[in-house]
Amino acid sequence: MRVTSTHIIELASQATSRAQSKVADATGVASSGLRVQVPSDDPVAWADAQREKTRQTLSTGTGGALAASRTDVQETDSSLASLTGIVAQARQLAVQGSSTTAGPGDRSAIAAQVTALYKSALAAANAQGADGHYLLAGSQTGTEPFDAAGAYHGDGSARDITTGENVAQTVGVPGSVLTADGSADTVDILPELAKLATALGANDLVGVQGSLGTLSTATTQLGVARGKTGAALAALTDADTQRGLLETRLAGVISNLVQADGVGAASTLAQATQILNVTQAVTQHVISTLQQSA
Amino acid sequence: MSDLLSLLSMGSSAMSAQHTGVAVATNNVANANTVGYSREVVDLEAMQGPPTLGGVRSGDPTRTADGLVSGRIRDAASSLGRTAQTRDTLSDFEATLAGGAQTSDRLASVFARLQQTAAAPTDPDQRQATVASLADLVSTFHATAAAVTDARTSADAQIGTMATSATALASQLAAANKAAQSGSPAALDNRDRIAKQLTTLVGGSARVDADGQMRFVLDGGGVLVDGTHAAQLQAKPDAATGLATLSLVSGANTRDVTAQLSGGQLGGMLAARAQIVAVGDRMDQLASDVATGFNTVSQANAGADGVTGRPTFVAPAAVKGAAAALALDPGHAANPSQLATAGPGAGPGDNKGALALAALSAATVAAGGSTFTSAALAPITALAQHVADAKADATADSVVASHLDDLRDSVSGVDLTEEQTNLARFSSASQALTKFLSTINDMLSGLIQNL
Repeated sequence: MRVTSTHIIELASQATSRAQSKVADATGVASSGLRVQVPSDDPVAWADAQREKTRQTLSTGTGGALAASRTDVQETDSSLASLTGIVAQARQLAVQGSSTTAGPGDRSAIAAQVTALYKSALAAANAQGADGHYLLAGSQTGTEPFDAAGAYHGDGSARDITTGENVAQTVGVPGSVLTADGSADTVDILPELAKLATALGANDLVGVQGSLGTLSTATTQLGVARGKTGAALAALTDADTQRGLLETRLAGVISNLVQADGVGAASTLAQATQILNVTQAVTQHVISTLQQSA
Repeated sequence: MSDLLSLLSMGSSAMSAQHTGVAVATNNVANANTVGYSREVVDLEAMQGPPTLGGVRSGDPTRTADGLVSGRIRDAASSLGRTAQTRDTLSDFEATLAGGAQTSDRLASVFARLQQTAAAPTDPDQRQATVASLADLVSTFHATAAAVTDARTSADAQIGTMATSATALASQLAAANKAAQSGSPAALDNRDRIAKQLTTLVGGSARVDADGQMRFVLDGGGVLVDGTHAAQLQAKPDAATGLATLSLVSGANTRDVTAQLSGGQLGGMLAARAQIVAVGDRMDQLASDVATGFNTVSQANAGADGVTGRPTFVAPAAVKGAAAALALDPGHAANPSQLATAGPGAGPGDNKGALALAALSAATVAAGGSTFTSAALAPITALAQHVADAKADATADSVVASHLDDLRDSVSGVDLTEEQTNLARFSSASQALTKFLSTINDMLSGLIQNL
């Protein structure tokens, strides 16, 4: 092949251009820290990274849902704990009032205490969350679930939320757990407290004695309800732990897919720069030689 | 004396031949950096004369060019023109799309917000944030649709400009054909240069027929240049799609060649435009699917006020243009409590509607049986693959074109060292001939004085 001076200069020029292009590419990767700066740099890796980013975003949403639900469940559990304490106090007062040594005046005084407890129980059963919704109303969160007589006006629906990828968890406890469901293990807790106050005020010893068993059932009933909130809290905590692990893993996967290895990028840049220096020296030499021969 | 006069005549013609050599070498050096120049050589031919000496003469300078290599260079230029144009156009489009928010990200944000709203359906802040994320999704669809429209409009404008340039080059080629009839090396070089430019622009092929005329045929067989006659390439918008189409106009004949042009920058631009349109179509389909999917769930569930039957989005009138036309339901925008988070007949604290809307993230309800987020990624990933392929193809085509340019240079290129040698050779011969003629002149002068 006949090699002309123009060809030699062209070869040197092309080599310099290629070397400059490689330095520019390597600089871009090293300075941005990204191996995939636009999708076409590696379409498959970019698409995989986007899919993992979608999972990451959904996981963040799950985290928000878990946090909101945990607050709700904790407040619900707090209400149930208050009710448990109130029922326990009421039962103690019922024991005092059921004593044959207590007189009508004693029972009247105890009735006043039970009435006060009833009001506290009603307030606990009608507790509201931060945004004003009623915690123990089922889905009817816009209105007070228990009226002054302790009758329940909410529904029995409990809320499910997404706690992970393809995982759901029931996190709500409706106010119906404070009502009788027809079985012997449940009673209408608030009306039973009202009955006790009424029996004490009326010096109805039989009625007061009858309340002792009912309040024992109520205590058990509240224990079962708190067991549900406890289980829900434990499940939420576990789900949040799993979510944290998932997000850490996803961050690693995304990093591996699109981010550059720092040492590798620096090494590539050094190599490209060295090649450019050599190429420029060769080009200068070629031009000098051709000028001399001319 | 007559012999001496013959010697003078021989010296004169030899001097002319050497001067031609000097002129050719000088012309070659002068055009060393002229793009498309083919070096010339001069052949010296010994003349026969009685009894043994005849002298030398030069023929016309010969252009050193290889028609086969020139043809392959044009083919490579067509291929490189196509791939480089596709690469550049789609890279710009990709940068525009990748620079903005990704529809898949926005969809994921909507579903993440719905999950949070499902955990606190009565929280007005959560509902507001969810409605805001839906509005962001709509904005992203609009931005993508606008980017598609801009890219498509720009591509059509460039197609029109290229068609005009192609028509101008075709006229120049026809004129060059006429000039080349003289056989002038410069005219032939000029014709080759124009043919390469035209091939780079529109693809096709150029061939020199037995009559010495170059004919330029477009991909698909349309004749753009036939000898000294040039047809026209005209761009006009299609009545149905609005996309620019290309017609080959020759006299009274008009032929649509849009689908046949595949090579050159014009072919690359048409291919890139097809990808841009495909991205737009897929985003329109997705926007329509999103509206349908959300509205179906939304209408079956209830807002915080217990009212059912309200859509999330204003349903686009047609799939075509759905991305640009997508709009959030005005009721939702004004009053986030209308977001259908509750099941039908349930109270405001119910979250079955929100859960059903959030479940759309995993539902395969988008066209082609994919999820919304996958459907949002698919057109961008396909575009990225096309850009990556175009980058690789352009690099390969560039190497081929460079190799062919080297091959042409080895045949037609000017080597300064070689020309310097030729210059010295012809110059030395001229100097020797000057002495020779001076000696003959002295001899003739002496002879004349002795007469």
